[in-house]
Amino acid sequence: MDQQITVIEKDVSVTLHGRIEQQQATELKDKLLGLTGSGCLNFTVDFENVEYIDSSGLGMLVAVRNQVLSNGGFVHVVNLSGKMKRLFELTCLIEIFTE
Amino acid sequence: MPILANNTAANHQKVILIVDDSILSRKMLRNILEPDGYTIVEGANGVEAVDLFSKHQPDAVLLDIVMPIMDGLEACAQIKKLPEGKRTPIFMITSVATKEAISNAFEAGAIDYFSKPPNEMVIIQRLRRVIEARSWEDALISSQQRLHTITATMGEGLYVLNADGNVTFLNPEAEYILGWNPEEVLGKSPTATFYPEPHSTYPDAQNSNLEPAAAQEPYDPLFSASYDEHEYRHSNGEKFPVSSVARDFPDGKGCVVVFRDITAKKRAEEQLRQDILLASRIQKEFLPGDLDNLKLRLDTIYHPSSHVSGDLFDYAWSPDGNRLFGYIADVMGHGIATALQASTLRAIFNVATDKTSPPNVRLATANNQIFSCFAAGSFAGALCFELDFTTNTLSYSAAGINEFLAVLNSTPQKLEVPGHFLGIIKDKDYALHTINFAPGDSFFFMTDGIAEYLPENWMSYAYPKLKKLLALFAVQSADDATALCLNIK
Repeated sequence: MDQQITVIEKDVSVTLHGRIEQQQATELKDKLLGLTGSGCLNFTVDFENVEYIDSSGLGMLVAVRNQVLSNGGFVHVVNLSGKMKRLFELTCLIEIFTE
Repeated sequence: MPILANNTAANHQKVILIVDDSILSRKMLRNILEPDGYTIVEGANGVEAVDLFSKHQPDAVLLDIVMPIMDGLEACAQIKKLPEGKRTPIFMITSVATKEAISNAFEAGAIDYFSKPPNEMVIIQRLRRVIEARSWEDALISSQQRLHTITATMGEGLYVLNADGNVTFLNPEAEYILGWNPEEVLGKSPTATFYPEPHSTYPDAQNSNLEPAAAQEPYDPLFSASYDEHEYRHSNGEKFPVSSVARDFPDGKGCVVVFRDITAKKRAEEQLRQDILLASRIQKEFLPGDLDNLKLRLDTIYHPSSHVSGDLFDYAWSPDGNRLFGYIADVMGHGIATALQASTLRAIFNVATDKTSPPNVRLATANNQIFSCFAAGSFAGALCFELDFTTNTLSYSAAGINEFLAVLNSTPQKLEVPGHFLGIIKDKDYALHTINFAPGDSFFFMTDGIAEYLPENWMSYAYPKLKKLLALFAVQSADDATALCLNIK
């Protein structure tokens, strides 16, 4: 998975590509949680080029959200479409990641 | 301008003992050597030579042969008997360089001789070279002593093989671990004592960080630089596991092997393996088996990705036998921690929720309970269902397991059911859905370990073939994979 992470002060932009499964999700979770530890609060995750995400990937997003929420931060998922949008709708995660 | 470049810095603190009964000769030698940086100590006879040698431990000695009280030859022989004298270069000074005098000088232990009167350039150059050689020798001895101290202090066993594959060195820890005495091991191939027969194939690439030196040759673990786990043989005959690092010497003439006994580690791994297998058995024993009665056939598929699983399911009949309550769930993650949380979720479903409650109520209750039981950040997917054989209806609600397969009136379809995961947001409501069923209809509830493997043409299969297909996907899945397959009669 190619992943691009851009940090501007407290804001983090993450652009994901391809399939997000256990190993990639674990690595990404470690990186993003590391950024929360460095003071980053607001995460925007671009799903335009994501083909598939498993439960580990969803768990990664939830873990980062839980981490930043208590400090007033957020995790926004953007550019959802097709299967990915349907997945977020079915799991109702669209409510917490696009509000 | 001096004849020779000054060497004072190199000779700083180097001590030369000059012994001659002639004050003039001693002064001449002092005048030659002092400008080159040496510290000069003088004696006038053989007895003084031996005393001054013991006192000053000079780096070189210049001895006149003909002297009163004790001549230079005798003094040389006595100095050579002293511990430090063996390695100290002694030059004899003779005014008569006959064959006999020269022979006597070398027999007494002298390294070289000078004729009187000494040639300044010759004496300086020879001394420089001899003292430099001794410095190198000292450095080498010091390096060997340090190496010996390191290997003697190491917590790992270490042995050295020469080009013939014979052991030339064994450190104390290696003696202790192997139980062999050095005399039993040194000079022989390790296979004669502690090493099992060499392998005939290359080691697993994953266990070796370095390529064998000659990839086309049969792999010999004794000579290839590699990391490996294998067995050594103790002197009592028992084999035991070791991890080792073997590395060839740069000149290719032998290698060094460092190893450690990993018996305790292997025991701990085996104990952990047994514990996991026991946990795996316990998890399976909690799960209900297949079911086949007049109302329906229910087949279960359960395949943990690594012995224990985050997946679980359960079902139970109402006392009158007309309603079947069940659920399937998937705690996110893998391994022991996830399996423990799966056990917690089972307790929540079976104890904290009323199994006769509608599926949406069970999920809402479980969702609120989970926050006080799960580790931070953990969550689960679930699907609850109820089959009512008095009304021929299936009621269901989803919480993260948001789709299932159904074959209704011979029409296969995938039903999507929105619903929040358990454990992310408190006080969530779950929608209740109801559909009618008829004899011959089928339902397949499954975790994503199977769902993600579903082929596009799954609809062309019917029960029980589809059930078999799902079981096959479960085995192939890298994830925990679980399914409940229901066929109404």
